[in-house]
Amino acid sequence: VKEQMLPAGSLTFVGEKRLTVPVDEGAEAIMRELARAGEIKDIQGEEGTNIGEMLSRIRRGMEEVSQERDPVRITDILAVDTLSPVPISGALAGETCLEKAVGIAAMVRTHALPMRELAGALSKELSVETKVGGVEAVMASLGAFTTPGTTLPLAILDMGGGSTDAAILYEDGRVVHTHQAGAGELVTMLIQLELGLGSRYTAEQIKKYPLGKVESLFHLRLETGQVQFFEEPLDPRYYGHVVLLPPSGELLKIDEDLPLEKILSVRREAKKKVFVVNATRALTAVAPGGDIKKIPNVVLVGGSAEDFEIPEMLMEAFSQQKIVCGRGNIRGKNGPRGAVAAGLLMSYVGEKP
Amino acid sequence: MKATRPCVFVFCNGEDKDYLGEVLAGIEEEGVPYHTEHREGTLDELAFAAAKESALGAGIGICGQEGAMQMAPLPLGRNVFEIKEPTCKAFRRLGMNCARAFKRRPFLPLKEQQEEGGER
Repeated sequence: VKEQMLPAGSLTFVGEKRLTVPVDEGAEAIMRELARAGEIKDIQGEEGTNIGEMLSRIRRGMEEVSQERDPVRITDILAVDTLSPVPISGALAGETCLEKAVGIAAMVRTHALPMRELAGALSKELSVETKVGGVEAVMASLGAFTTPGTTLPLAILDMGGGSTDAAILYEDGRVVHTHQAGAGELVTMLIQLELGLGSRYTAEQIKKYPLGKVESLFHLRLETGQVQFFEEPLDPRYYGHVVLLPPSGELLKIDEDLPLEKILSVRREAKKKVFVVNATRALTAVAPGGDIKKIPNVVLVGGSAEDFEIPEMLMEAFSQQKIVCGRGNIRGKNGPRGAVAAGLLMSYVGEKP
Repeated sequence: MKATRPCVFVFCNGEDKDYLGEVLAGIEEEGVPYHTEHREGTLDELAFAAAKESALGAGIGICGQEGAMQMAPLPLGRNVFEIKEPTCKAFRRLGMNCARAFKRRPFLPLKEQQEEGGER
């Protein structure tokens, strides 16, 4: 019996400086070296190692999509320390041991080419003129500006599924922006990993909805400690279970036998590790002189800005720097969603002679 | 009724001895005390009375080859579990579920693979 271990490997940041850091040193060390390397041109993983394989896969995938002749470049990563339950060999009852792991989200730089091809294909399919609109962060800023009460200069934090972007829109029309890896999808992955969930869909639901424990056939206790009563008895299959409470009202049962406190803690930590870290990084990158205190307020847009607890977490984190942040309300009615779409529309209308 | 400590009540009327044994084994497996006695009445009435009189608010009625588990606030006849096809396993599970009602633990299906999707 031969066993081959694939080592974790190390990351090399090719920027103003060329720095290498072993993945094993953890997220803090990785992010520190990333910051020290300055403006990143590319990020590489050591060949023949786990990280090397991961980054190669990402590159190959992107090359397939874009059919580029120039090599694809990885321009940002977010590393997050996490714990992964690893099955113990020889275990009789599925015992697991929590092992340190590092979660990584990567940002890939693409040429405009795939977008133009997409626009061409859409044009043909729908018989409608299609144009490529420009930079996402600029469009998001324009869209965010439709939030009633906002003034220029406007700082936005666009938190989506794949990336966290920040931008500042100045009175003279200039936009400073940054595009960073790590957002909603990474949070879902961390939740799935740390709770050992079989399904990513369950992790997604845990991310989105508050928790409760069914304590009797007529009441459940919410994660806040509050008690919710029911007129009609609950279905016995919910009895004793931890459930999720989506706004639709229909309880979602969690199959895995996990205590509510554990799920709560993993969910909140995952969101903090990704969004608080990335929001700070992104705002620092666009702030005048890199001084985050110079940004008085931030408008939050994007799918993850709709989350029931992320805006408060950011508010708490930024209150120390006296930054106020709040959810956008695109066109005064869409909430934080549709900023980019609104921006594209405004930009198109604004360009017409 | 001599039982002074809180326990699960099992009221029987012309019960099948083997099935009663299974119920009690199930309750004991979950580590909860029980008390059995004979009562007159239908299955629904037995289960209802057992739940109402038990300090833990959960009880079982066994009538012949039928069994049902009831919990206190529910109305007569609306049993939480009822055994449709008597088997040893079903009665064992009935006992276990009654004990779990007190322990605030999730219930087990009376039959394997028969419950709605998601239950295992």
